[in-house]
Amino acid sequence: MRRQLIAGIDIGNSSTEAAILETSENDAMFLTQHLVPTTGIKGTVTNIKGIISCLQIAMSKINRDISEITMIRINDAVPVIGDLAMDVISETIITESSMIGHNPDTPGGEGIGIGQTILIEQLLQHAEESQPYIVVVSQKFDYEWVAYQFNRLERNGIQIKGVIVQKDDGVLIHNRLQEKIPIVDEVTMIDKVPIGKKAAIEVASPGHVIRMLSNPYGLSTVFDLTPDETKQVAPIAKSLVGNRSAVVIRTPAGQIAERKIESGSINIIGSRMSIKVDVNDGAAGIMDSYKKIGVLKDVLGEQGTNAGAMLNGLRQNLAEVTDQNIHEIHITDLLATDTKIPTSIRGALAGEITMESGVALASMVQTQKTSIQAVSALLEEELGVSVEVGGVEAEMAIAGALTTPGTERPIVILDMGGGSTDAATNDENGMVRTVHLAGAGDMVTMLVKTELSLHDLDLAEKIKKFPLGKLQSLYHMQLEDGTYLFSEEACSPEAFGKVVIREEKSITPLPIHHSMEQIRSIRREAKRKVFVTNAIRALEQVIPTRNIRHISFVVMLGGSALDFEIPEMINEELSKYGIVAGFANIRGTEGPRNAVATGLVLSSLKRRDNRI
Amino acid sequence: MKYNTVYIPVFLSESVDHKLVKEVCAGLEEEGVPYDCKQISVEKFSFTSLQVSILLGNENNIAIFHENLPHRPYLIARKQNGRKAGQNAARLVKGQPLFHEEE
Repeated sequence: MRRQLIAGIDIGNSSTEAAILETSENDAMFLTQHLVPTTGIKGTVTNIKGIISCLQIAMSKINRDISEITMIRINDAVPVIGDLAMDVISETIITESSMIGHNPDTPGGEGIGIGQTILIEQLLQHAEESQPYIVVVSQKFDYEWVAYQFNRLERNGIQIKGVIVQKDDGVLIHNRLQEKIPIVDEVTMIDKVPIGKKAAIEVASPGHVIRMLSNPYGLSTVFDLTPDETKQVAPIAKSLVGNRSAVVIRTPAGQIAERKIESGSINIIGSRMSIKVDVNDGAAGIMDSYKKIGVLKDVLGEQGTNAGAMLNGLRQNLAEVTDQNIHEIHITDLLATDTKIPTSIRGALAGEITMESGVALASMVQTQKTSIQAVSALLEEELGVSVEVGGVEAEMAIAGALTTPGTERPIVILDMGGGSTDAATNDENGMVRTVHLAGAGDMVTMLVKTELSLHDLDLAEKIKKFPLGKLQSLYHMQLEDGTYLFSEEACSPEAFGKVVIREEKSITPLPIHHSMEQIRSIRREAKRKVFVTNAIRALEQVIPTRNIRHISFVVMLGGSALDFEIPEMINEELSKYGIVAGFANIRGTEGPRNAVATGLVLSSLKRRDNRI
Repeated sequence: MKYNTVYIPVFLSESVDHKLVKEVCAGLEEEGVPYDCKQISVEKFSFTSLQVSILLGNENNIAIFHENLPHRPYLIARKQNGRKAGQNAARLVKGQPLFHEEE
């Protein structure tokens, strides 16, 4: 028999992988492999471009040409497609009344001041001795002049209790005052500050946070409020927690409301029963109901509500992607997680944001057969090589995973990709059970992007993939674990003092003000919420006895198994059940990648051997 | 310990605009870092224990040097950004992120 080159191609949601094996009558050897990003949507003809370039690069690694390939096997891509959505379920609205609570790097003075707001130009003309004032200073005034006027007025018996400044002048004015008062600076929208109203201003000493204005009863003390009014201002106090400086201006007719948005409910329809859950109950409420309903048949959102819009949006996207009628789309899995969504406060003056609670949803639909036959036909035509569609993806993944040294049947695999988390088991008799769950790497990216209010998905992706560091001098940075890293070259001024993403060869400074600890905790929490939750859900469904404790080993596969902390998190969780989880090392060389491509090639060999 | 060396020296060339000096010093003061202005012709350009020095040149250009990188300025700013330059020099000492020059 002549020598053959067999290529296995695995088209995934986010990457396309190839493995190429050379075989003759009595030996077979893997020669090369490669990975490229998937072009287009998994299982459609748009994938061809990615497949061909993947094969070309793989072949060029061994100095051979793509035309030498004798057979290509592609995976029967599982026709499940996932999508993501999220929405806020609460909203803080401040109407009439105003607040400024922001963290300029350098506010002036410290303490609390209460008085009536007045523009500095008005103060000079008609200030009354009996009235305490909070003075509003726009950017056209110089700090020397302002301080001089304040000192002069103070000597004349005018009570100045605090200052709101537009420019970054807080410390400069403060240093020139004889009477020390709190000053909040960098208030950009100063012209929106209501004048002639009672205001309170608080600046905490360095290293502390404000205590009075971030406490509802502090506000009620300052503004002399009734219990009813205190309830109204509670959202203001809540959104000021953790600030170093703040201003609250009360307009008597003003209203502040924390409005619970009518998120609506979702109807989870299962084989045993259907349950209607209020989205305001949060992710836990949704997931608890999901567990009770048996096998999921579909999920419907209440029309005309945020939940309805969220689920309909998902349906719409999935219908377009799979080219099906929207009514034929049935959701086969749902993962809900709680999240914090930064939302700008209506009625705020310095662009303050508050973290409103929200729910993120990942869902998955079963489509009709994807057009994988069309892909294989077109690929055959383009390359002039015979292309066959291989077996079930899960079986191929198991066959590939079994090339990991030290594995044997029965085996449990957990495949963590970009779009879905899949699990499969295979017993001694070759019986395969599989499950495909919504929520994987893409959902983590979405959570990171939202919770850090980034505008750039690529940046969120990088934060997910790489550890952080903070540049502390020109030549050294502190890493997440507290250790230090020194460099020969001075860092760029753009990166100095910032939290950076430590990629393999370069660093990317982050354009956000969060501390390294905050970013790290958001990143890890997002991974835990998605992958740890899904690992447990997947294993519960795929293990014949439905009891996770009945297995002892899990082999992790897929791009997210390469992550620098996800496998460790899953291991930590599974160890509570007495399970050891390890990531695969396909063919002893490839790590958790290339399992399906390898399995595809190997399964063709097995058939040939059986024939012989 | 020599307390008198804990400041950022601002070296002034002869024809420097006094308004620029005021702005740079305001930036340093706002950030709460001590500073001291000196005439470059009298005193040799040098560093203090804070390791950062500012040079205001004849063309009213602003150069911020770091002792560990003495052969070229770490930051260069234009005269209209005096305040921010002063703040950046201070933030360089404090290890805080820098402002970028506005166009």
